[in-house]
Amino acid sequence: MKIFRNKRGDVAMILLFVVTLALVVIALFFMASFNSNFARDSEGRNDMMSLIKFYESYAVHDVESAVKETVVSGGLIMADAGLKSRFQEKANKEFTINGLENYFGKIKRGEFEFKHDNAGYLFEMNNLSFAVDSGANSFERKLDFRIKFNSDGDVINLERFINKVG
Amino acid sequence: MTRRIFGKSRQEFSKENRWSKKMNVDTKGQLGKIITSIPIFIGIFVILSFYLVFVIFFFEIRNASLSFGIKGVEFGEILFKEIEIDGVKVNLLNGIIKADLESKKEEKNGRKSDYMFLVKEAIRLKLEKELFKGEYCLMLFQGGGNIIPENTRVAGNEKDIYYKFKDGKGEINYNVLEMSEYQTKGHLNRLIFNVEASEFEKRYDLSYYYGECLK
Repeated sequence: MKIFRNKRGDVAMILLFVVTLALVVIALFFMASFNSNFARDSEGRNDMMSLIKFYESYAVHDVESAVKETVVSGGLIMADAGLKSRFQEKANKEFTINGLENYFGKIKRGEFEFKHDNAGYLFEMNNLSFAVDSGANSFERKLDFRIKFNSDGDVINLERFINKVG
Repeated sequence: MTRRIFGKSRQEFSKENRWSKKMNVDTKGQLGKIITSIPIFIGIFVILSFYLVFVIFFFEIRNASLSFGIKGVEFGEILFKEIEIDGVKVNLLNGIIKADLESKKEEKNGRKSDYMFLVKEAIRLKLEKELFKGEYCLMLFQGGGNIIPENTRVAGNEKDIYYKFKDGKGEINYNVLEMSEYQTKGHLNRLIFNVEASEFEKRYDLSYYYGECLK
């Protein structure tokens, strides 16, 4: 008696088994050879990002405290030009933090607006640039910021516009 | 007119397709196929289970190298907290930088500057007013790296700050073991930057923590 078997069906099933096994082995191979430096590299990028964030925070806080000092020292009775030069005096420092040269330069050159606005004050700085280099990587951020202060020199509103990231 | 389907009359088409309606299933063949498939599927299931268990174990032991926390992004306002020294307002960070500049100036005159001590006192007084209840800790180490290598550095040194505030009262904490926990548990933020002034250049490497004390 001749037994007829559907051999093609069995081959497909066996292939399913073999392919699964092969895929598992390949996946394990990729996992074993995964470059763990990837995480370390991303840590470097994190450091760069956090430094940019620090520069930004520093500039904003510095402006806030210099404005407060300017206002306390008689800002209310000053004209806009006097207000600006008094602010420059207060914000001027005997040191520079690397990466914040653009900010300190803008303060020195007077490349900002500081004036009376309604019952309070308005500070505006445009195209402020922060750059960080780390090995082959570099990162730059350009931003504009505008801070509204009340008559006591306390912050009412802070607006930031990022112009360039990369 | 007789309607035609695929070029054939209705009768012809119906006659040809009569057999297609009749189901001719090889039941035994199908059953055999199902039975032979079962061990194959069990095999696949076992292999995939093994793979999953292995993957879970693999990621568990390599967990440390896959943490992507963005540390140091939040500068926790503490570095920009305003303090008053000799009637002049500065933030903590500028105070720390100024302490070094003052120290450099005083060195030239053969004296020792106490500006950093004033900074530490000013931040303590400032925080005492803000922290009425509970336990809060502030630590700020300069120099980076391992903050407490073999207990050679203590919090009471000139540059480092370690305060414990309890119900509005701040005190220096000299417990080195307690401090080291903040580092080993990864609670310290780190900030590295360079400062330049006339005849002065320094790379600051700050490790700091400000918040509730670890239990």
